[in-house]
Amino acid sequence: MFNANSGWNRQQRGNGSTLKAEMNQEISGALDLRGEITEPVKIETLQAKSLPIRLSVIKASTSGFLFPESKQTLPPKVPNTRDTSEKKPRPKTAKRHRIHPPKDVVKLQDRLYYLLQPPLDLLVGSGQLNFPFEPFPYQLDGIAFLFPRYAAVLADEMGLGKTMQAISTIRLLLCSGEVRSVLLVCPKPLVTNWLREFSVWAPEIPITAIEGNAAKREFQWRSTEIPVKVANYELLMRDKETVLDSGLHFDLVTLDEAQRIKNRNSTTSEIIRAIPRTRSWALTGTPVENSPDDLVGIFDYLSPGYLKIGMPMAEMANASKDYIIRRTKDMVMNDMPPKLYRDAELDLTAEQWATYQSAESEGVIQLEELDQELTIQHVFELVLRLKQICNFDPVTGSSVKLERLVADMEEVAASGKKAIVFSQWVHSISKMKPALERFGPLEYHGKIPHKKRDSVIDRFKNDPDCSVILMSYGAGSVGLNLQFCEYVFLFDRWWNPAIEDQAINRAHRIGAKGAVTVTRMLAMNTIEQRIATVLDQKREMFDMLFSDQDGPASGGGLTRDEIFGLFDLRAPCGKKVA
Amino acid sequence: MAKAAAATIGYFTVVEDDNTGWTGGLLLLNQAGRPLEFQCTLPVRPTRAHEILFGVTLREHLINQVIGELLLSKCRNDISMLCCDLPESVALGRVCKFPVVFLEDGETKTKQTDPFAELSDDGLEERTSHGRSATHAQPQQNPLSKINTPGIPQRRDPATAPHTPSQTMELSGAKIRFASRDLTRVQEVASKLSDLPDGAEPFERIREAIKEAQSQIARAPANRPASAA
Repeated sequence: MFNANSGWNRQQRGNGSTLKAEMNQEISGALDLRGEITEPVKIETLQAKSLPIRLSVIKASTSGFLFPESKQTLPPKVPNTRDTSEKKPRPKTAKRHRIHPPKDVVKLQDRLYYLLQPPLDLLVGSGQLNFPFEPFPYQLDGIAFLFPRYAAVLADEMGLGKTMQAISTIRLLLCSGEVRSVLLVCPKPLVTNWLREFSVWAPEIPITAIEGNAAKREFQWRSTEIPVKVANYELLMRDKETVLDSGLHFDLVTLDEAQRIKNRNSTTSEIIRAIPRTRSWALTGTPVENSPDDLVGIFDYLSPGYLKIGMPMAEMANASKDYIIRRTKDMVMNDMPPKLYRDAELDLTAEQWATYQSAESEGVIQLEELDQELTIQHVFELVLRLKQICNFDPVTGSSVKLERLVADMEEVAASGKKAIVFSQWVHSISKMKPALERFGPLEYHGKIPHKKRDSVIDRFKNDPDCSVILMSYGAGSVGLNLQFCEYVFLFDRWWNPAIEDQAINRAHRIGAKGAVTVTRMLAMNTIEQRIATVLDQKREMFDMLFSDQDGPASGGGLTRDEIFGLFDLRAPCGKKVA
Repeated sequence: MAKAAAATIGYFTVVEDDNTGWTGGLLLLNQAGRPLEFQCTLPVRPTRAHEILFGVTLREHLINQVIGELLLSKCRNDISMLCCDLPESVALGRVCKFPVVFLEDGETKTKQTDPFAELSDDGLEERTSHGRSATHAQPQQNPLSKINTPGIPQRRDPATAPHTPSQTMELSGAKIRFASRDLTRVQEVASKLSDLPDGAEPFERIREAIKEAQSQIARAPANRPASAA
């Protein structure tokens, strides 16, 4: 049937294109389009041509490193800690508390060193890392923040446990061998507090307070057997030569209440900045008190020149972000009892009012008469005199605030609660005491010797007959744990709301059993009301600087111009300030 | 009395990213979960030719032969057990003298089949007789041949080996699956890892580390991802 010839071509047309199919296949014949055999076909042999494709080997290159053996040690178990032998079930969505490297750690290997460490919550949960009390999650975050940092500000609100976080991190760094010598600098009244807290959170770490005569202190400074030394700010001034010029070096220097060095030109600040050290930490609940320049003062210690005076606040906030961690109770303590503010707006007694009016009008006249010789000191003296009259009439001793305090204390004592009363003046505290005698008042201020202060606190805590403690802002606003108190009275207002907050947070802190009621006494239509208005405006500045923080605002004190403005006076430069 | 040798556990995973490629990480931990060593690869980017010619076997080839075996050969510490979260990785058990286990509840979603099923003796024989398509397409020398101990892995002890290809157990709160023949060795290592805080969490660390490394590579234009030529 198929008598085809040597080839067969077929053309097919469709859609305007031509397909020419040519077959080199050997077949026995070919068909024409009508299906008839036309001629015999000669079939050629099919031959394939190879096209080599060389496939390269997929290669990977590696990078790796070994972890130093010395950096794997965890601290030993703290005696009397809770039993953590039973592991907690692994929550699938638990938030991990990892150590993240700070931005100034650049080398990949160094960054991975931190990232590859187990999360702190797992170490705690597995019983490898022990604490006498279970830390709050935000405290683990604080430790994870401090651990890798050579420059850091722990700026948590008062009462959130800055001390515990710093001690626990120091403990980890000491145990891992990353630091061997630590210097803690704090206000003098807080030295015993640090020693006590160390005995709780890091009992295995030897610690000593630098104190005693010059020879003893010299020996303590040079001792290499005690890894942690505690010194107060004032003592550093006396031992300046030993600390700065005798070859001492600290792996870590931690400043408590670091706002002490906000003034860059102060001697304290200069000495602190000159201490030879590797790591620099600052602890403060109020990194900014008066102006953003306070932060510059602290950063001159952490990283000199990093922040500059006059830097725009937004730029400063952005630049300092990686160095500062700040949490407020509102942010982290969902189960913290509330802090209730009650503004007691009081009208002065007739005697007080008469004295006040007379003093203010005469005082202002005198200030105006000073004209170009007017200084801030003159204004300041008048403010203090008027504030004192708002507390007590100097002639009759009449006091609307005391009347209110006594009335409130009746209720506090009757309910078995305790209260703290803060005043700026020891003189005012002394005047309150007789009227509060039946509430067993105790005093804690600058005139109480340091050696007796601990016993005062102990008695206040344990004696059920002592319902009230009278404190000065200066002595009692920092470092004390009085969370068993549920009432705080601010008999007069401090210049700076940050100091007030510190005072209030003696009671409103971790461990507080119930709501803390804060009564702020304010004499209406007086200088106190005007100061309160200015301070409210200062809080806004703090908010702007720490704009990503949602916590309660803590502002700064009054500036020179603001103090002149209280009496609508012109500053000596001629510029009128309102 | 001689002190028992400390156990170590390696965690191995590979992160695939459309932009950067395939990056592997191996983290070696001591029995308390503290890091001893970390090895990772630069991103590997197979070519289009690899994708076509390896086909569906490319993934396993990259994970095991290209990345896994390389990282294991680079590791300078002894590994007592290797934990993987990719089902393909269990094939590394063929070239390791230590047991390889698979994390069942890891972040990586896996098919429901037992990843060890194909590695059972029958499966191995079948593979041997039919050839391993992925590796046979591109035969290469086993970089880990030096750590293959004669006689290990012992394929099956008929007296002890159960019929199921794999078993599970809990390791520090995580469910791991391993070849039934490795039961004794896995139990022995796991008993020494009682202080390990969490059996699954180390994979998070590796992924974080790879992410960090990739972000550094992205910031450094000179370090282009390694691409197979």
